[in-house]
Amino acid sequence: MKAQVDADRCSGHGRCFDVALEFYEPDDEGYNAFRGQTVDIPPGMEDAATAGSRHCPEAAIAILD
Amino acid sequence: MTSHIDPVSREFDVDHHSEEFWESAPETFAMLREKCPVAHSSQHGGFWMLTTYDTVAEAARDDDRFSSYRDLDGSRPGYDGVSLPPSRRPTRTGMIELDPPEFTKYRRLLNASFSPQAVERLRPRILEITTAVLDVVIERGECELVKDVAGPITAAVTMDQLGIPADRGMRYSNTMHDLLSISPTSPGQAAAVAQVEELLGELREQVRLRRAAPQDDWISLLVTAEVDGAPIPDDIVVENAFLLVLGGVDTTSQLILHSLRYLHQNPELREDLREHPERLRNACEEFLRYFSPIQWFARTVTRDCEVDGVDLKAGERVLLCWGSGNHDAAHFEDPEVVNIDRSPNRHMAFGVGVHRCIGSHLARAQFEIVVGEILRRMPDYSVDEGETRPYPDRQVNGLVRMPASFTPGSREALVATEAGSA
Repeated sequence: MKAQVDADRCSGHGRCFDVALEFYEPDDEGYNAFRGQTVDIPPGMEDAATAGSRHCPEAAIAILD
Repeated sequence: MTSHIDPVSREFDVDHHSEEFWESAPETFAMLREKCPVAHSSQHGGFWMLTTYDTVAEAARDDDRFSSYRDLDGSRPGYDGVSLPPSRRPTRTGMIELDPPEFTKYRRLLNASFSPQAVERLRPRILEITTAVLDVVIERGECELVKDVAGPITAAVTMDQLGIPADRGMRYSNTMHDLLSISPTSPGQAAAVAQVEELLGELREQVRLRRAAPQDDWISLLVTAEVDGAPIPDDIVVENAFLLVLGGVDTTSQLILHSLRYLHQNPELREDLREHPERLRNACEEFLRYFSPIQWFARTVTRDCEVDGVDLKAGERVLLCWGSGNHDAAHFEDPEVVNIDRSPNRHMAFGVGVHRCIGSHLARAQFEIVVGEILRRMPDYSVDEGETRPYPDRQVNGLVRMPASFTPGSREALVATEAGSA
């Protein structure tokens, strides 16, 4: 599984790392540090990655199989 | 208030600044979401009203089609910024009345100061201010929560970060309170605008002082920064400092005040949050959704386009009703019920899109600390509902006055700080 964080959509609400800090981190400006990237979700992190995606008010995080 | 709309013309002659509209706003918004998510009013020169979550989000995320720009020099007539009717002030409300890419240049300068990490570092200072302000009233057993508690705390936090002396805090707080609570069409608005002009003069002086001797604060950050390779002119720094005061003081106060009132009315939830302060974080999100301290912002349509099957023309004005979107049953199950365990809670109380409230994390931290401290130190506070009054105007869903009584407690700070005596 991969998480894809849309660079245009991510607006720094910070809900992703608020609910799933074990997987998502903020960058220096408060955006998702994976902004503009597609990253592998390590085993065991699937639920955290999905929770962060579900909480995003911008629907900026896509979880890809 | 009218509860019918002509589904063909979509005409709905509503004035979103009228008290009668807000008396039945929840029902009216529900009717509009169901029957006509893109409705038209002929008031204030005519405007469209978007009320569903999806239509509001679509417009807010599309700065190319829905502009926040405020024209000041006549080069883009009709681009009246985010107020509706247009603000009477001859200056922009800072960067929120710019579109990308101009907007982004200013936003990037401040993002790091408002990041979750930066706000985390401010928590001890927010607690110190809260302690000092509560100390002033704690032995009395009664207070007026707007001007004795929420106003002074949010003002002190904002002044502290801007680098403005704490003793000016209440002056700023009261001016914002007056400006936001009064309808732009009421006679009192002229006086509020005159007060704002005075504050802008004061901010201009602060900007000059920081330019000469920069310190570690938001104003210094703006005067030492460059945009397009040049320093930011004083006027632009002033309007953005004003924006931070406007955004930082009254809206956060109102989130706290509405929540305290709700908890007074719902003692079981109050007890639950008093015993489990760690649940305040989730509660904050739900109160943000439910009360939506900022109910709407306006945009200008840049080109003929369609929203939810309705044709909008270039130059038309549009109202994005965040508060209504936050009560849309298509996105929130039982939207009229406060459920602090709601998950996910993708509310739009801070807006969506690139203009997302820069102070959102600071507001959340203040909510948690202030509500948490009041539940701890004034656990039996009782709101005098008969003396509690909403704002006549409701762009900010605010309370003018909310007296409360409680069992007196003890002071906790060893030495009163500047903020407490402000």
